[in-house]
Amino acid sequence: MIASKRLKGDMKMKFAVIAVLVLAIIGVCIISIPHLIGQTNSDAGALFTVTGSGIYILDAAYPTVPDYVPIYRIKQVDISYEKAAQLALSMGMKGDIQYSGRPGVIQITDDSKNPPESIEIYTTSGAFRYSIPSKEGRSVTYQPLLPSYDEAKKIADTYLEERNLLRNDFTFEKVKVGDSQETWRAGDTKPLTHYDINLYVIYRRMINGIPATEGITVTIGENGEVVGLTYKATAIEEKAFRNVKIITPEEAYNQLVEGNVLIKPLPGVDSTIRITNVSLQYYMKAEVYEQQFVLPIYVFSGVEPSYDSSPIVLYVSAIDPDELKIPPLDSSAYSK
Amino acid sequence: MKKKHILTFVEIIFLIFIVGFATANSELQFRNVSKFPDAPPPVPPGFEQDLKNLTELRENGSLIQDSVKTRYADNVIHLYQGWNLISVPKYLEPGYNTINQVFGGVDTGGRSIYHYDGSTQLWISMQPNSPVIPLVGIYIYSVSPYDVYLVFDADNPDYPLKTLYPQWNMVGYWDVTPIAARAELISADPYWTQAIGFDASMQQDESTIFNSDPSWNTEMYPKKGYWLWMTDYGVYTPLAGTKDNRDSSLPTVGVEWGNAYSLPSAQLYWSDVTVTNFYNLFGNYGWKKMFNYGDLSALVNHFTATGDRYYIDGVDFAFYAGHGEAYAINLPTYRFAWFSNCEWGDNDLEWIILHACHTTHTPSNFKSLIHNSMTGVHLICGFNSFGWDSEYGYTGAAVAQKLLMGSGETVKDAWFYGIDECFGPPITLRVIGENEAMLDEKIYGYGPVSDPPVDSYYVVRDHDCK
Repeated sequence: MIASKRLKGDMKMKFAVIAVLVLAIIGVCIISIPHLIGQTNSDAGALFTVTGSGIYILDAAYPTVPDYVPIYRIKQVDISYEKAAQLALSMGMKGDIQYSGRPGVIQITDDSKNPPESIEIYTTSGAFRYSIPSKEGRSVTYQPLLPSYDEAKKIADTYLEERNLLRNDFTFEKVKVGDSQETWRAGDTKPLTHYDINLYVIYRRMINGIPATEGITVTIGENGEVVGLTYKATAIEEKAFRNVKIITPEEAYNQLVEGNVLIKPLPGVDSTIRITNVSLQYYMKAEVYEQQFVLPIYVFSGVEPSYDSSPIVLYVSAIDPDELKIPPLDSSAYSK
Repeated sequence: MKKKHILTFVEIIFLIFIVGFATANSELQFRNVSKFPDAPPPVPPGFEQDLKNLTELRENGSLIQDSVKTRYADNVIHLYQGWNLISVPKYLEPGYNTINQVFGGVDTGGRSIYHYDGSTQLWISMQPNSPVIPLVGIYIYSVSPYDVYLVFDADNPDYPLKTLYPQWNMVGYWDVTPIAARAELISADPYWTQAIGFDASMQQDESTIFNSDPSWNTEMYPKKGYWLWMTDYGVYTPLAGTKDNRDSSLPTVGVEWGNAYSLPSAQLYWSDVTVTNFYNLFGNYGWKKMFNYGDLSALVNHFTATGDRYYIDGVDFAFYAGHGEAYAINLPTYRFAWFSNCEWGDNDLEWIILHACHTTHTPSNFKSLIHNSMTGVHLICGFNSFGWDSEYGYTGAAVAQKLLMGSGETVKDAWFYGIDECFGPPITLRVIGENEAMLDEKIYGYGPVSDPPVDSYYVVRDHDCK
């Protein structure tokens, strides 16, 4: 009897050891296989690649690109207080210049308007953000009456044309919801309320037929009122500075999987990224930054399936490294 | 009949001159307080003779043997034979809160019980009916070891405040948990330069705690009293983890960050600059800078309920920059602060920025049927989409400036538009508020702030960068 119990105990122990071994092997496979697949495919446009910022799944065709593209020098605009005041006036605003606290940002608020209107002008890039703050950022307890997408585009076109802001190098891209608000109860699977607060009408800048990473966004609020305008149209010299050789999309993808991106994304360990589009674009930095040249980049656009297909973009330098050895360009050209 | 003396004009002028001169000298004396004292803290009257007697007893082997425990209950103060520098860690129940009621059983050998008046730099003998209150240091002599039992007033919700004067102040310690001197004395920063406790078992001063790194990391202990050297006037009030305690006059800010990641998380370069820009700007506007921890010093329990009281939930506004997930903050070396293990706002926190990917993507990770991380926090700001490492830390500066400049923007708008101007599309941002009113709230000093009722509802607001 006792021997039988001991035998059963030994069997249980053996099963437990085997189970632990099997689980360990499965674990090792889970960790190793993506690495192996990534390594074997990385030279030929990987299908499934582990990298410094997660796992990439390439689900897009590489674009056809020229061997050389022109680069441009940024015009130094250096907007003065007088020019800023003139710009505000062209937007129908008067008011004193306020200390924004941010170097390179001039802020003007027109308190004579009801409600007050505000404009922030970025002195190095020439970009500006106009808004009616109490309307653009408002919280709501009902669904504001918003125009249809077609009506929104017409409103935005008219608004920009009346102010002579719709230049030929901008093309309409899309209309979408900008801000939204929901109320939830813990445990529910649907919100109690959902309100779309405003619409964005977006125009994209093109330079020499290549899209740039900047544009115009008109924000349309309740009853079709324009409550905000983000205008990013960095002044560049008309004549190209020089032509530069660019790397191929395949080479750019390899740079991506190596983690060589222009701006590091913040995802942790849980990020799988499905690349759905690869394109050549001109890199325009955000309006707060200074920039010397307009340089080409590869933009890898995609989604993160783990996060409801949340969009993501990753920027990779497109210039052939040898070109960056020719002054005034250098290895830090993209960050200047 | 004695003639009534009336002051002449000359006498009045002379008096004004004398009083003015004395006042000016008095102020001058305080204005010129040196950064560090020339001598050790004062000792209570009779201390030297008592020390001599105790030393003789010790040498004779006649000192009373003390059975010291390693840990006393929070409401027990152990007195050693000789002088003791002590304080009470909480308000005491009426009826149990005077010198006589608290220390009536202590045999002081006929000596007075003292506190020290920082305004006059003189010893004050405490009377039997003098109240025993927190933050006041008390010097008491006991002829033999003795345990004093305290009766706390659980119904008193107030936090104490003590005015501090240039030169020496004798202070108590609030609450029953030891914390670093810097956090405990932050309200008196930068005017306190030294803190010195008293080792009653050895009848001598403890090592000096300086108001500088790393000395300020020395922990201060409940029920002890401390000497504090001040270079100017100040206030002493507990600020770490004390909800709504003088938040409007002494608001607090704390930041944590991660840069030194290893695969599979990419190394970051600007997290420290991002949060420090925010931290310093808030400091410039009078907020008390409580902590700035990064990389290996940024610990999981700074965020989670087990240890957040003196860290993330110990301040009014907290800012984290680094890697993140929809369910956790990802600190360097694979350490995760899971949102389901957090309870933010039950101690102090009003607003928190999580400058990391997807941190607010899934609000149910903060509030669900089985867990509520929002135990008083007003607004959680984060990324719905991915985010970027902020070059030159501009985002931290931009958000802070929008909160602090002019009439100040709401926390929601400062987060949305501060990030927007530094990143642009296709970044999407999301804030989670306890209720709709939190979406329109500005920080202390820029608009009304009130704690929302904590319930099972919450509001989510999204913004697409443009």
